[in-house]
Amino acid sequence: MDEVDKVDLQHSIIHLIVLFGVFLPPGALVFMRPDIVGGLPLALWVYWIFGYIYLVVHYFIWGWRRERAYRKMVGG
Amino acid sequence: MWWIPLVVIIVVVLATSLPGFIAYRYFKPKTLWDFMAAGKTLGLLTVTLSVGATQWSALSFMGFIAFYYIHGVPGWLAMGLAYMLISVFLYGLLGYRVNKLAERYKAVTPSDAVELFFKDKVTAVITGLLFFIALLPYMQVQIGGIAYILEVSSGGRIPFIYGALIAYIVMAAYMWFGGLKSIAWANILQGVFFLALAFGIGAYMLVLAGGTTGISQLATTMPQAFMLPGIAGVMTAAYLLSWSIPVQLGWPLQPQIYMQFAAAKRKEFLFYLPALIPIAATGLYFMQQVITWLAGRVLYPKSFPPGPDKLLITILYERWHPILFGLVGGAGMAAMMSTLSTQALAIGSAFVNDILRRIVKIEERKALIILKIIMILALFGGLILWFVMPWLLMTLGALSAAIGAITAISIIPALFNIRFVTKYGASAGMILGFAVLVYTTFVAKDPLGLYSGFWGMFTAVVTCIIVSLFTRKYRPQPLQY
Repeated sequence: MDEVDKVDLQHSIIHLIVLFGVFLPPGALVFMRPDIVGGLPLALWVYWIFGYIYLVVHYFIWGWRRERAYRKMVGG
Repeated sequence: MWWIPLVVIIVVVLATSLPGFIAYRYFKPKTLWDFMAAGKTLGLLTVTLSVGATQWSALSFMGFIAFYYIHGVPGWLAMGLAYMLISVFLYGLLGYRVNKLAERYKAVTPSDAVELFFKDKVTAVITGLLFFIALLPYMQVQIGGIAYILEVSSGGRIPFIYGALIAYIVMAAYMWFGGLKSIAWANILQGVFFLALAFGIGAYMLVLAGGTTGISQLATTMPQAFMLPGIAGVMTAAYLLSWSIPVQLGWPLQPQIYMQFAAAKRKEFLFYLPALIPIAATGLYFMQQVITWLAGRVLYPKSFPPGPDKLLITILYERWHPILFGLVGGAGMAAMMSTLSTQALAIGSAFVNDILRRIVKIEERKALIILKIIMILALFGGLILWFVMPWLLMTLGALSAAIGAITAISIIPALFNIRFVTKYGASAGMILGFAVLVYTTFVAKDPLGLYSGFWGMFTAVVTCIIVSLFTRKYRPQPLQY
């Protein structure tokens, strides 16, 4: 297992926890509700707004860490 | 003035195809490697937009909106968000390894990776054959989309075959000469045009839905649209999981996506692909589609008589200026063309590279010509089949996405050096998994309230584990890369 593999494993674990803890069942059973918060249903806030922020931020950090690990590995 | 949208659509189709011809000026593929993997010359932006455009298809304009209209937020979670949570994550995880294999061994298709790892042609041919079966009906969905856009745009005056033929001839021309490089370049402009329009459509639909007030009222009058099991009452937690996992796992493995990972110039590009796809997809999944089905439910709370798959096109046709509607139709056509062209290349590659070359010895130059012919035949054959027996193709289309998940048992071990899986385990798993998928799709539909794709994948994995346990002495050697 090289440096990039290690980073991938860490982020896969984080992603799986968030995936099933928030976005997919069983987590989704808690968050998917029609309650109105600030003019929008809670389900849209969680899955639309939070979902988007999580995706972009997590994927960028993951990409950045992978690149750093890769450069360290190849000595660049 | 009925002809205005049609003229605009034709202009958009021709204009967005131009980069495909320009690419040929700079890159003339001479070998299969050049043709299928663009000689591994695609940059980060090209890969991102091309992969995105391949995914934005007739389904994005019609089928998915219908799916969300029928199921509400649970449907959107299963498809739209789960795509970015599962498929896009896998783009990054698998894409880097696909590119490493391409760099070291010139392995372009999933079957190439399978043969490299298992040192077995049969397992590779089964993988290629399954993709061949999966892709043909998937292409027909695009043809159906083109048919509907042209029918609506001309007010039913012009048979869609004329418009479709123009799109097909243009596509066939740049595909024939430039292969993946031309397809990817055309995909960029087609994707950007589609995205720009998607933002506009999203903003318009938000106004039509009555803004956040309209959406919050919908949450009060139709709370089931925002919670499980959705409006139709079938999207239970178990069904949602059994649907999302195989479908979203299958997409990144299908050759039309996989080959573009192999074609990236540098493997480090794939590190940032997952972050860039959601940004590009915002216009589509987070605006256009979501707000369109919400507006649809605000305007037509009970049902939409022409059919929910026609929601977007019909609303815009009735309300927008013909030129503006023509641009939307053109964007829809561009989205479908970008998907069709990549799928046709993938079918040609699956047939020639994954099946034919593994059975018959054939020289490279001849193989390239056969690939081009199969690619064009798949394109036009699909069009003819659409007229002859569309019912069969649409039925088979349901299997398409889930087949990719079945092939995961042969592709994932090859990408991650999982030596526990043997060639016998992978082959038996794929065959039995496919048989169960067909059975649970057509005969005993969705047993125990779980999607047929799940049963296919589950059977494939269990069979693969059991057979691999019994054939341990055939464990493959790890790949060095």
